[in-house]
Amino acid sequence: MKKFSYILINLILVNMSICFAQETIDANSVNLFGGGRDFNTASLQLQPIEIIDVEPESLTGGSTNLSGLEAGLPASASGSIEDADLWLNFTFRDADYQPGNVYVYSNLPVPAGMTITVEVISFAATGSYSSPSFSPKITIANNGPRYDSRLIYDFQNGYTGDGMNSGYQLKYTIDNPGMASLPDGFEVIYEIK
Amino acid sequence: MKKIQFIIFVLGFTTAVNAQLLPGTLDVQGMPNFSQSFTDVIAEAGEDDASLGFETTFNATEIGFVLDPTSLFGTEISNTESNCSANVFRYKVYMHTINAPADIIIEARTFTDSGSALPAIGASPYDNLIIQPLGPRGLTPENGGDYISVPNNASQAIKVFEFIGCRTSIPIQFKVRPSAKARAIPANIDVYYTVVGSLM
Repeated sequence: MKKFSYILINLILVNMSICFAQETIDANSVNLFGGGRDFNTASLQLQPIEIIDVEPESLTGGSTNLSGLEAGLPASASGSIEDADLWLNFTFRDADYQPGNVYVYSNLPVPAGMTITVEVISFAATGSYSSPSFSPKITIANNGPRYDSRLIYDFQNGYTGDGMNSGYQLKYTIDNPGMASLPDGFEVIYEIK
Repeated sequence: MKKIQFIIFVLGFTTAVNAQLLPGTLDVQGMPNFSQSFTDVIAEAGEDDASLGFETTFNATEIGFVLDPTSLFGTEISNTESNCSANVFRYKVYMHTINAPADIIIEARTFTDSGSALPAIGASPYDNLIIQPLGPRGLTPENGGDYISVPNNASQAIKVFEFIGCRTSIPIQFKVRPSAKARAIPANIDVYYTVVGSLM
């Protein structure tokens, strides 16, 4: 009796799955008498997409991790100040299917004696795209999108995934032995194209 | 009494089996334009564009299926409307595409009882039957009228809706979900409609 119940339940489940399945046919081999087939042509045009951001959204200069400082030692006690809680996300669809590049540079010159570098320290493949390559380290300068400011390069159309722990984890290193200040309005710019 | 009922059932079944579908004509109108605007593009970096998608107008394409006129020795003896009035069948509409680019999902839908019945509801003797064998002359979308992904493969053409009796001007609305991986170059896609008639 138990066996019969199992069989009955299985039959009901199979029947339900058939009921909810989408009905398909082989349109090439169906008998069209009493029916018909026709088509029209649709045109498709998509927009190129080149958007990029650095997570977390609320990042400000004040969030830099200053744990490398120690009273009684020089300001750059360990040689640098580091921040590695940043993630770079982007979505890219090129108009003419050329490979994409991400550049990093500053809008104003970095003060003499100060060095700011950014490097990719890990990659989380939560999105979908191919051929990710990245430079080991970029020294930020006010030089615009040039070959030597390419951080990530030669990737195909795709997307990295959004938010923290998606895309590329970045690490800033600021070496500032002369205690120089950044000029007002100083920004690090990421550009994708 | 039971014997009579059984004989009626057998006779009815035999009639149904011997009934013959009549030839008809499928008409497809419109050239859909799947053109993505700036506001249709994903705004958050890192997300896939396919998560947003964009729609066409509700009637980007209109299709209809009516029975052909009947001729005898070159003379029309029954026109389309008369044939549609006297012969009511079930029609299932399957869709597929050809030449759709990679990484693009095309979805289609229509709406309950959309389009126009031919002849109008109430004008066919079928509408006045106490028991209508195929149900009312209406249109029933699959998936409750929600979008259905149209495969880019003729061997997997998918049913999008069905209707009873001749019907014209059935609107088809499309939604396109292009992945960021898709190419941003113009493309042409052939959208096929396959109508299968049945007696039951």
